Amino acid sequence: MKIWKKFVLFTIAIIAIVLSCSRYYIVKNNFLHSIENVGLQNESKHILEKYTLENNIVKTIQDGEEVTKAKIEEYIKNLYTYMESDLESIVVYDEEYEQIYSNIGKIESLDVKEILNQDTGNYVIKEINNRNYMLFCSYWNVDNNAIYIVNMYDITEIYEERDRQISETLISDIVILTISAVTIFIFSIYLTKPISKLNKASKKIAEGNFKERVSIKSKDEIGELAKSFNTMADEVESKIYELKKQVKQKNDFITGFSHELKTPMTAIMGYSDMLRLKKCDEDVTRKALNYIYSETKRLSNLSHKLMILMSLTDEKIELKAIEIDRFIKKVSEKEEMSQNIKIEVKAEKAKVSGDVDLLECVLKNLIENARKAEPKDNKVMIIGENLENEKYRISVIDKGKGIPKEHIDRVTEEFYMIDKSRSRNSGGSGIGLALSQKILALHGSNVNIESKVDIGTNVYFELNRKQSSKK
Amino acid sequence: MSKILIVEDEIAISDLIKIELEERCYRCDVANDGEIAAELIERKNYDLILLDIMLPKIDGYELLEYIKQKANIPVLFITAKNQTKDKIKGLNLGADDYITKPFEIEELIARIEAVLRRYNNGNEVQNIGDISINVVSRTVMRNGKEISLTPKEFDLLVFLIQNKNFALYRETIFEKVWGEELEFETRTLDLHIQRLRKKIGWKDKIKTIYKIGYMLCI
Repeated sequence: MKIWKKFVLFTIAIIAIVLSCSRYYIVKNNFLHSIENVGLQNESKHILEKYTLENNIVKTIQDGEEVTKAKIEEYIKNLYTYMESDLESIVVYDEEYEQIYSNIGKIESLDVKEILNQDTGNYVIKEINNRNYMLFCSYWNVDNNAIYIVNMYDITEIYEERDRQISETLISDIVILTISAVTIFIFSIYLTKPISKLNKASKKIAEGNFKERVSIKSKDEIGELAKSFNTMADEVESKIYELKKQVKQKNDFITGFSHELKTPMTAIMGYSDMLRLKKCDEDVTRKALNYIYSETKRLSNLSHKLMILMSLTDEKIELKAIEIDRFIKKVSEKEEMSQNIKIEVKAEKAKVSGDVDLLECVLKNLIENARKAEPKDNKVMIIGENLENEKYRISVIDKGKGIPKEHIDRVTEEFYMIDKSRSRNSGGSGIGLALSQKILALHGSNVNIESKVDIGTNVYFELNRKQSSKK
Repeated sequence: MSKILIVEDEIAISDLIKIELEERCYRCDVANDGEIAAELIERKNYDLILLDIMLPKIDGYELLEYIKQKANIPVLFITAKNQTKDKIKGLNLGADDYITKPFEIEELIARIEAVLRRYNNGNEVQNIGDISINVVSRTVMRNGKEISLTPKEFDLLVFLIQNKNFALYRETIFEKVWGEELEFETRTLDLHIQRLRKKIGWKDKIKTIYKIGYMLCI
């Protein structure tokens, strides 16, 4: 059952119960009150009539005449000629309860004793011929004979009035209930509308439309619910986006990785198959062996870097104090020998916190990249300087061919290469900068690149000076 | 012989394909990036293009569209991507076949030959001297008369022709023809060679090379 239905039914039921109870109470009281009033009025009338009749009878006795039925009838007729009224009737009985006189004809169902002997009040209400009468009864003795006089007053009007009131209130109650039902219906629709809005939105989100939001401006609980719903949707959307991004990165990584793996493998397989199948001449054999060697070396290089990259992913490293100026010089001398390039070092003295092996890997990669940029003066500059904010900056500068602007943001992605054929021929695998970036992230730093095509590139990163307890 | 353009940015691989194809008497040009390839296609006519998908400057798919617009040259693409959608994309763009890295050179050659066969109908028959070999129906004819060969004898003959004028090692011949699962048996190979020599009458053409194996000299 929908909320608005519950709401309407419940409220209407309560209103109906309360309304009918109060109506019942009011109508009943009104009715009792009218009966009581009429009772008092009629009682005095009855007493009056009784005395008038009694007077006449006493007078008859005083005059020495005999009191007969005919006489009594005459008195009563006289009485009623000037008291003409439809609403009043009178019945007179003798001591055997035989009807002496009646102005409404013979009445069978009347029990005079019952009227006389009733305990409460002095009247009885009876329904005769579909009309309601208030009955009064008195008696007196005439010559040892008892005469009963019964007055019947028609009070049907009071009953009719009560019935009229009941039917009127019934009509007004139906009107009231209808009006309130409609009002409550509209109100509850108004109240539950935001809920159905929320419902629709959440269904859409469940279907995968994560951009869906609700716009409910009210400041009540539903407004708050809508607000938190939107917050939740934001969160879900960003998480989904994050997940999608991760999946894409993973896919890119796998594509890059498989390319980097499959290409040297194809070459190695092809050349070695050629050598073992047929007797080739000296030149071809040499060429094939060279390719096999260089491609194998490339694979080994790749696997080495990948191993470091993988091991870095989740672990935290221990940072130790390094005399950075001596470290830079040491690495530079080593690379100058192995990479066959001139390296100029200007490094200020300082102690920084870091991991020696990993930082050596970073510096080596950056020198290698600088060499591959084919600097015009065949020289790489490394500058180490103390910055004000407890940082130490290391810059590796070359006057090589530079990096086009649109590539700068992406060069730290795994297997991203600007010019694949050229970088691969110089031994690159597209993983060096990604690796450096990861290592520096563990040092709370990152790779910064400033570059202009055909002028040169400056790659720099900052490290925390000693005492820093950053882990 | 057919002219083939090799578009591949990896020098190691382009060199390998070039050596292997030239041994089989194809004429080859090599382009190391998309631009050079486009230029060469513009200037020269090729019977087949071998196209790597991941290329610098102009991407393989783009180049493929360009080739198919220009002329009806068969294209066989090489890809490192193993995903079906990449293969479907290549084939939908009009490529005739594909091969994924890492591949074996023999498979590449077989695919090249298959594509070329499809393009020049009837070229499945190879004539060497008085012998004609049909690789599709797997029949060998001499002067219009059929020579009946067992399946392995036929495979061996085709392999020798593919690698004609090269001294081939015994073990490798066996492995290539019989498959890697079987243990190498000199006797089996020697027996098949003898029977081939006899049936086809190439006693002097299939030579025994001392300490190495066999060579088909044509």
